[in-house]
Parts: sequence; C-alpha cells; structure tokens
Amino acid sequence: MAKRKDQADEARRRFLKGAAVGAAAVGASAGGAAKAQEAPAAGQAARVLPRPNEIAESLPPPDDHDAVEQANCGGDFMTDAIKALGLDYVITNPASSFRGLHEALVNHGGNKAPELLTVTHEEIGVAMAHGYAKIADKPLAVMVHGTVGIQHASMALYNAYCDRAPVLLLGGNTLNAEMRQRAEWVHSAQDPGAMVRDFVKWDDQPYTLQGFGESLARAYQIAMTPPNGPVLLSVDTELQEQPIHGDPKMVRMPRLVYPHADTGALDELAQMLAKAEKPVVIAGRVARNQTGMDRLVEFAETLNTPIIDQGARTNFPSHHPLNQSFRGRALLAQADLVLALEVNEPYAALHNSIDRIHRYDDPVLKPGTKVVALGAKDLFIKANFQDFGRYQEMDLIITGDAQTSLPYLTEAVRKALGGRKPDPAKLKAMGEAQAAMLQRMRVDASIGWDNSPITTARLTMELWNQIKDEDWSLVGDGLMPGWKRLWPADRYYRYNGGSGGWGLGYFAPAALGSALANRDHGRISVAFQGDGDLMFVPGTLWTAAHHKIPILYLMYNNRAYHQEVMYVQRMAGRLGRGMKNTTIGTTLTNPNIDFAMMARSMGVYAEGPISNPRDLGPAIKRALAVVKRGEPALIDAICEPR
Amino acid sequence: MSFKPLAGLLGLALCAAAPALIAAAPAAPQGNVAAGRQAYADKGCASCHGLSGEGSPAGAAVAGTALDWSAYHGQLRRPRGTMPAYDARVLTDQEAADIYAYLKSLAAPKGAAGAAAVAQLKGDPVAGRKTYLENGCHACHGSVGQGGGPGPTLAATSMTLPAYHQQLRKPRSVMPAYGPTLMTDQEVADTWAYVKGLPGPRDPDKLPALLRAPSR
Repeated sequence: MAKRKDQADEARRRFLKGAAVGAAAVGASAGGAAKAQEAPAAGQAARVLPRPNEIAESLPPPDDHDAVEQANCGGDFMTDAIKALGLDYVITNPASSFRGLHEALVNHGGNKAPELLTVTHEEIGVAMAHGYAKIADKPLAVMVHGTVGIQHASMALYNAYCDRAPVLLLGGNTLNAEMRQRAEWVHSAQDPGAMVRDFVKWDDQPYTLQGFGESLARAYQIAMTPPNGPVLLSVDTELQEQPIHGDPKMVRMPRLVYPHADTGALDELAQMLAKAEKPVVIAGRVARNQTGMDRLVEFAETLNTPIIDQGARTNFPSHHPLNQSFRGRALLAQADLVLALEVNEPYAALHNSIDRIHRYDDPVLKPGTKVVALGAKDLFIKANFQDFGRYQEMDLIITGDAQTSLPYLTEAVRKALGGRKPDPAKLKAMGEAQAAMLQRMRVDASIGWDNSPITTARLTMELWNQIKDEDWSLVGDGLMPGWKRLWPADRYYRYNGGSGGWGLGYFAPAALGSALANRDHGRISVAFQGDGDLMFVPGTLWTAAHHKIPILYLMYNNRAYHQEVMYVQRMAGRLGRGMKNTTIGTTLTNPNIDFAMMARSMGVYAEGPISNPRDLGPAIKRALAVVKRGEPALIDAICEPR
Repeated sequence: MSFKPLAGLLGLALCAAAPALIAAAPAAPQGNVAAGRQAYADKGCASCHGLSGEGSPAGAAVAGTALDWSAYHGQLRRPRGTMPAYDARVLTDQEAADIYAYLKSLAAPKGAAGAAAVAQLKGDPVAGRKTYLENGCHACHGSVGQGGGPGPTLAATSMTLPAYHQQLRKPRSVMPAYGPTLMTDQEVADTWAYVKGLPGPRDPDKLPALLRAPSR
C-alpha cells in the first residue's frame, strides 16, 4: 500500500513540475520572465490549471491490490450485526469516517430495519434516539463523524445519560495513522471515547470485525440493562471499507434478565410497609413500558398507598385516585415511611430548597420517618458529573431494578398484610382530594382566558380539546406550568418526561424521536415546544418533514429564555437594582422569530404567529388533520411567559 | 457601573464621620427623593445598607439618618471603616444630595404602625398596571395575574393590602424582595389595586375547551 502511494506522489510531482514549466513558457513568449509573475489572462487560465482528466491521466494505474470491484466490505458484516439486534433505525449526519458502513446499510442492508434517517446535527440525532428509547423501550443507533461528530453529539449524550436512556452511538475513526489523509487526521483520535467517557456507560474501539460484532452485542446489553444509558463504539474506517477477512461470526444476543433486588430485603421492606400507618411512595424513573405502569398500579392498590409521580416517566395513571402527586409535600410531611422507587435525587425530593441570599434546605419529613430506596441507580454511578445529587440519609437501600422487583414486592406486601383489606375510606378521601384539585385547576385555568398573549392554561386546554378522543402521546413538554395535570394520562406513553440533564436543544428532537416510535402504533404525537429550545436545533423540523414523521409542535413562544429572566430578576431584587434591565440577554425579541415561516421553509405545515386565543383551537384542528395524514405540523402561539 | 462597594465587615458607614478629618463639604444642593431612590439602588448602597436603609451586618442602618449634610458627605468621600469611598467620579454632589434626601424621607416608623399606614393608602389600578408590568411582576404571576407558573394567582386576590405589602418587602419563598427603592408604598398599593381588580375565574362549563376537561 505504501508503495502505491509513493508512486502516486511521484507522478503528481512530475505533473506539477511540467505544469510549472508550461506556465513559464507561456509567460516568456509573451514578453519576458518578469511578466511570467503576473496573473494570466482569462483565456490563459484554462491552459495553466490542470484539468481533472489531466491529473487522472498522469497517475499510474492501480496496482493489483486495489480491486476496482470489491466483493464485500466490513460494513456489510456490521450491517448484519446491527440487523441482528433488531434496530429499526440508524440516524446519521453523513460523513467520510463512516462512509463504508453508510453505503453498506443502504445497499447491502437495503435501507430497511434499520432504515437510515438523516439529521442536520448530531445533537438532534442523539436526542431523537433518547426520545425514541423512552417510547419504544429499545435503542436505535446514531452514527457520528469521528472527533467532530462526537463533540456535536456530546450534549445530547449527557442528557440521555442523566435520563437513563439507552442510546447506541457509533463514531467513525481512522485507527491506522498511515491510512489517514488530510482532514482524517483532525477527525481521528487515539481514544475517542475519552471525550465522553464520564457520561456513557461503556465504550470500546474494536480492531477486528469479530471484535466489532462482540462489542456491539456487549454495548447493546450494557445500554439496555438497568440503569439504562448511552454507549459508544468507535468504528474504524478501514474495518468498514476493506473486504471481510477470515470468517467473523455473528454474535447471538441472549435474552436479557434485569437485576432483581434481594428477596430477603424485599421481604423486610414489605413488613415495614405493612406496619406503617402512613406510607408514601415516590416514583422516579420506574416504568419503561406499560408493564412497569401496570406493576406499580398493582403494588399501590395492594398497599392502598399514595403515589407521588415525579414525572420523569408516566409511571402511574395521573387520574388514578392513588395518584397524589399534586400534594406530595403535604403527604410526605405526615408520612412515617417513604419508599423511593428509582428516584435519582431523593435528597431533593425530601427537602424544600430555598434559593435566597442565605441558601438553605428545609427537610420535609418529620423526625423519625423511615426512608427506603429501591432502584438500580447504585449499580452504575460515576464520579465526575454530579447528577447523583446530595447524599440522603436512609434506613434501607435495596439495589435492584424497581420494575423487575415490583411483582415480588407486591406479593410480599400481600402476605405481610395477612388478608388485611385496603381501607375504602382512605381511598375515597384520596379520590376526593384529587377531584377537588382537578376542579380547582379547571376553574383556575379560566383566568385570563381571552388574554393576549395566550395564557399557558388556554394553550394546554385548547390542545386537549382537540386530542381528547385520540390515542395521544405528549412527547415534549417545554411548558413548565403544570396544566397538563388536567389530562388523564392512563398509559405509559402519554408523557415521556424531560431531558434529564436540563440541556436545551432536547425537546424538539427528542419529541421527534418519540413520535417516530409512536408512528408505528398510530398514536397522535403532540409537543409543547419552547422557542429557546427550538432555536438550538431548528434543523429538527427538516428531518420531521423529510422522513414524514407525524407530530404537532405547538409553540409555547414566550420570546424569551424566561427561566433566566426570572433568575436575573431574583439577583436584581437581591441587590435592589430594579427590574428594567433584566430582559437584556434573556429575551428573543427585536426581531421576533417567525417560527411558522421557519417551519414552512423546511417543508413543515405551519400556522402563526397566533396571538388571538380565539384563533388557536381552529388552527390546532387544521394542523392535526395534517398530522393524521402522516406529516408534521407546527403552530406558533404567542404566549404568556408562564 | 464600574465601582462596586465592598460587602464585608461593618463599617462606621454613614453614622460616625469625623468632621476634623474631612475637607469642608460643599453647600448641600437641593435633593430629589425619587432620583435619590434610584441612585441609592444604582450605586449599590443597598448592598450593605439594605433596600429600606435598614442596615445589615455589612452596613449601618441609614433610614432617616441623623447625620447632617457635612458629616454625611464626608463619610461618602473619605469614609471611616470598611465602607468604600464614593468620590465625585462615582457619585456627584447632586447625586449625593438626592440620596441624602431619600434617606431622610425614610424616617417614617416601620412595623405595626407602618402596616396600619399602608392599609390607609388608596391604590390606583391604572398606575398599578404600569408598575406591575414594568417591574416584572408578570414574569411569574402572569400579566393578568393568572398565576400557574412559579408565582401564585393574583387576579382578584383575597390578600389584604398590608399582607400584600409585607410579601413584597420581605417575601416568603424565592420571590425577589421589592424594597422601597424599587417600589414605593404608594406603588405597592397601586399594584395591589390592579391585581385585586382583575377578573377572577369564569365558569369553566361555559368555555368549550374546558367543558369536558376531566374533573372526576
């Protein structure tokens, strides 16, 4: 191979030398050597600059090792390995460092299962995979371009890590320095995984196709075993492009059984729960699918205990009488036992944090309340990023996947109760409290109903009014106020939770990924889309249109990074400096952004800006008709800040 | 503003100037209370002396200061203690006089008597709306007091004016404090009149999008 390169370089030097002599001759004939330094006239340029065919003709013919038609490539094997995992999609922004795998996916693989999806930024791709995983309960793969692609993807990767979402990231890399040409040097790294190793569960850089197959299987297994998380495989360019050597074997994926908590500890917990007078359960990231929700319902009904759903997933039906999330702090203050299921930061859940000049945390629990955690969090934890939160003192920590362990715990509670039936009066009281809350919210939602800018309550309920009879899925909620509590979320896919890492640029693409997963089930995907978030990743709209992913983005456009408006206000208030300057650097005005025009420019049906609340309902209806025929739509609604 | 007052140990601040060490003060210009209130906030005086001039561990109480003009001016220009100097490049004599007038205006007694006095104020809802929007109240409470976000509903509030006033001056929760440098008692009363007069909830059964909203 080195010999072939040497020959080519020698030929190129000869050609350039000849071209220089030719140019000098032209100059000399026109009047002397000095004039040869002047720029050639337009007519001369074509003779001075070599034409492409002249360069090609000057090169030596390919040697015997450079097959013009290669029978196969490593990318073919990689495609088969990806197919064997059952992945439906591979997302990519095209790039040279995975051109071998790219070509194999669309030709050898037929661009089916997996189908290649194109995004305009790697952050969009990973966030889509993040959202997809939370609905489909399985990962999809994202191919990114060496050093630059991994860095583009890193923010979304961090969100997925914090949100315990499985994502399979494939990063192109040229391992052999002799094979690198030009930009491949800046796109290659000795250890690409080092860039993101603090927030992926595992990474590897296989050197053979057999190694690729094994590492892919291991990556899938690690990503899907709770606590779920993103993984990274660095994929060598030569390995993708060169013929398959030897006889690499496909790896058979085993059935994965998730970590079950120690049954003795669960028996002990069941006894504690049965003896407690006022147990309360907090649910973090429990339900990965409908089975998770069903198991939590059975557990809660067996124990007749209130559930506080933190909203990172739809763990528990929102209008089940035992769902008491709306008065969680009050219940915790009275509790004698708290069970935290897959709660990432129990300290935050059990304290009121006061962000004033003197910062302090007030414990919510009364002294003596017992705290027990059941979850997989401690099976995988890293040091650098502080997503684990402040240490919470507990009485018992049981390590194991909550969804997997709930059936045993429920049965153990049933035994510990010894035939004691749920107190109907307690259930009735909780149902009445919830009904009162809902009625109050319904009444409060009417305040400022006809106001312009549109209130967040009206935005929420106008959308609800149009989807209430559909099989809906709220796949993005950039709308901070909690009016969606009025929506009865009775299936796990009704709402898919937040980003985890609170990194902007999540909602729009993650919503699209979730909508992709919903598409196969015929669900109507809708999202409240913040303006600040969309401006990080506007290319998401093009992917939605190009791949015909049905989703309604209802813009919650308050023309600001409004959380920061309030934060700067807090600082200005602390210092007594007035509020008039707090919009500097925090707002998205002058000019106002025309999101409908932006969406239309990328092929998405759009209406807006809509300021009159009376126009909102009919616009949503028209947009949903577009969604129902399988396409994306966007409505730009100008809203109150909160 | 390039000058930042030091927040640290208690200085002798404005209450203990030593005339013998200080050059003779110029004749006191006529001070303007409103301009002084703004300057007091802009120049960072509140950082140590408190929004209402009530003082703090970093600065003495200055509300209704008993210092005469000369002593006050001297403390600004060549302060004792850890208080940073405010020379004429940072604070003109006119600004100093405005702040002085403002501090003098803060002499009204606080506490129960203050609350009673506040209760007697008559608010102007039109002026209140302007103050409410200009001071960012709507950022958390909504422009028509609808709440729903980090701030509670204020439309048709049932809070009394003294309770409302107290929440602005010394808020519970994370709400920013609105001291008299930011909002006078009259302006507080105006915003209260505005939110109290805002329409409260309507009958949700008469609004199509709420008619079938679940209420169990």
